[in-house]
Amino acid sequence: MTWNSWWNSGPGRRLVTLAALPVGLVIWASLLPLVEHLLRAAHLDHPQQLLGALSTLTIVLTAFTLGTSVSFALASVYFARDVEWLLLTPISARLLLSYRLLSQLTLGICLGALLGGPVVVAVALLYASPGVVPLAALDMTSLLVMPMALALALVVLLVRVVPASRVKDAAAMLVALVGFGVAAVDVGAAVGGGAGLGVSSFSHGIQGPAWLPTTWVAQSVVDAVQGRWPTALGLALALAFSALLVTSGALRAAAPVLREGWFRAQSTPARQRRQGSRFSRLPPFLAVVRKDWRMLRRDPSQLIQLLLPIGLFAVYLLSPRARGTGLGMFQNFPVWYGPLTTAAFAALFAASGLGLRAVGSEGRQFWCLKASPLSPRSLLLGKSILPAVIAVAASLALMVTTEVREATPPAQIAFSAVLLVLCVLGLVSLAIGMGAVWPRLDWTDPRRAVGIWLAVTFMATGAAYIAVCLVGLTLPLLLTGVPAPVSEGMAILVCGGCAAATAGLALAAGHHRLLSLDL
Amino acid sequence: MVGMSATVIIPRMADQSGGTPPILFEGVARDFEGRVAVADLDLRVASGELFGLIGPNGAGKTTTIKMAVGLLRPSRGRVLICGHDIQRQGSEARRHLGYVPDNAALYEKLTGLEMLELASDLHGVSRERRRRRIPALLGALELSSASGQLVQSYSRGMRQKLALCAALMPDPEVVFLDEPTVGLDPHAARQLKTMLRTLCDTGHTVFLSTHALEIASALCDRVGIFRAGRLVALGSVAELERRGGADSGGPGALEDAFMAVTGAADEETTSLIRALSA
Repeated sequence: MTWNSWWNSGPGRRLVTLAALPVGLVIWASLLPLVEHLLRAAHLDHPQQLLGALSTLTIVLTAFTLGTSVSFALASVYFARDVEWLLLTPISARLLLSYRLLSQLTLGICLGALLGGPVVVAVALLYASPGVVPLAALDMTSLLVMPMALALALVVLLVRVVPASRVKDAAAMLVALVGFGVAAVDVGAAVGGGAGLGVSSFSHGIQGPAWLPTTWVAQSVVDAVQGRWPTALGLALALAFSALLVTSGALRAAAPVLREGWFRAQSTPARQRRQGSRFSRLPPFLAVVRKDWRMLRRDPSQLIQLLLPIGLFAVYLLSPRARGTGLGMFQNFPVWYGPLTTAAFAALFAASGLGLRAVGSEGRQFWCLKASPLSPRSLLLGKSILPAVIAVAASLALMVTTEVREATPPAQIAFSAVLLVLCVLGLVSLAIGMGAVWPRLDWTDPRRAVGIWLAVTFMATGAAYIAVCLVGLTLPLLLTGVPAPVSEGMAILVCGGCAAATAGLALAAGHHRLLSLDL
Repeated sequence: MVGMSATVIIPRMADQSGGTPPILFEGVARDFEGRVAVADLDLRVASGELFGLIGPNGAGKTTTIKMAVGLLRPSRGRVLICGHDIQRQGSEARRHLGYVPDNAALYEKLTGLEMLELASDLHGVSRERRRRRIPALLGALELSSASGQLVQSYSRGMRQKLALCAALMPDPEVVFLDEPTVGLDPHAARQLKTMLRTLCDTGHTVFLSTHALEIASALCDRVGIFRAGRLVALGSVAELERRGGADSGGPGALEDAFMAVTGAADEETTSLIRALSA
């Protein structure tokens, strides 16, 4: 399907993809020295340290794969458009499930090669053991196919008794709880003087029991880098065999109930909603806001996606560890600098979760707005309000709470709040504009409204915007020694100007695109 | 269905077009990467007319309707709705039209009532008017009891009816319907036919595309036959039937005319024989 989609995308796009491949390869390869340096700095050139770090990494990856696989299995088995057709063909349920599992595995391998590849190759270079690369690939593939298969089986068996839409909501809650749990454990461990599970503490590592497959992976790689190949290969084979066993068992358990569960998922009992007075009249752009708000609050999976990163930022900002910490180079910065930039990055996630997908989340329903008298300008305005209110409110709450806890003077709190509001409004406009320029309108599931590359591009662009707006342009004005009222006034002007220019450009591009958008 | 609340659902409207036809296609064409979907369409539909566009799959009917409501930009030419260019004066033109697409995708997480509320807000329908029209439309299309449920629980036919309710909510002068009877049960299809006829009798203009020749035959004042993006025949049903060499009004007369005009009869027979003997 991916191949067909690429092949049918037209000669222009095919050429761009082909041209992007070597560029991507060069970027990928250029990361190797940096990763190698980081590994040395973390003392991972000692096998015992490596074992701990790998154990931690595999445990986190397995938990992450298990969580995301539940969501993937639900989407691919119960909410994909081709499932009905596939179930009516003579294809067996087990083959259909195997195909879905294989699709996910292929995607996982591609992402793993992209993100984890440099680390594995750097380890191989560090220990001068090139054979580690294929061994690690085999180990990780075998390890991660197990949570994927288990999640698939779990979802299919659950949907047999509980409607798919409710399982989807529950899965979103589960992912959120796991996220908050990990963050809380990390903060608790750090406050207690331990290392926690955070990225910064990988070098300390945690080592699971020897019978866990995650430990097998770590031990296999460490054995390989130390030249103990028979043990390394033995563990790899044991992993591969376990993967086959688990996958086969999961498919055997899930296949017989797939059809029954799917048909049950199609007949979710309808719930009557409370009906108030429905005859109040709103201006068109506010009608769009009300519609988006209703849809957001009725979709727990979207809501959790939005709340989770903000919650994690709150855990980070409000934890005792965050108070008064900082590197030496920031000692001369204003006291609100840390909370302001952190809150701006929390707003980046809110803007990505809501603003970037604002137009794309219309999906195949976009005709309802496009065939109405709503102008593109009103549409953009309507689509901006909800993300702006949520991003500004969440980031302000985070920043002000932290500043109050750190006894920042009220005037400084007010000043930093003005800077934050200006910066976040620019950020949200950037998200709305980018989302309108590249909307994905072929989905009915709003979670798929934004492609992964657009999301990554926005995060990079948004981070650059925050850096330029707050750190590059605004902050230097406050460090020049000019009297406070003048420097603060100039800072507000510069920050507002940067935000307005960004918003103007992004929204103008989005407006132009909406005018020329064909459905 | 219409009779009981026709005055509420379908108020008679004064002709505001001032001589301009409510729907006017002027040299409209659309290409998709070099493939012609619609070629040089010139067509005017008069006020109060029920116009039917028929043609084989892929003939360009949906593309034509999408251009008329502003979802697709024409490669050449323009479409005027009540005198307003749909591309240059989009908002103004769309104030006068309602649209029901084929297999309408609606907001799954809104209730039926909220969908109508949204349609009313987007078209600026007054509070007083929506107080009268929402219950009347829901009642007429037998959706009252389901109006508090989320659209995600609706069947295809219910979605089609809700899309029709939303399109009629602002009482537009022009209504475009793409395959309106697909997904409807025979009872609902009959209701729809009655409603469309009543709409036209009260001064509205209806433009629909359909595969169902009996609908075109029974309902439409004029019919256009599309083939490979071109309007190959245009006229009243009786005229087209005569052109096809059939007895006007006889059983299957329009179908014979359709086959004759599109040249589909010979092709169809040949391709069927080929397919069966393959």
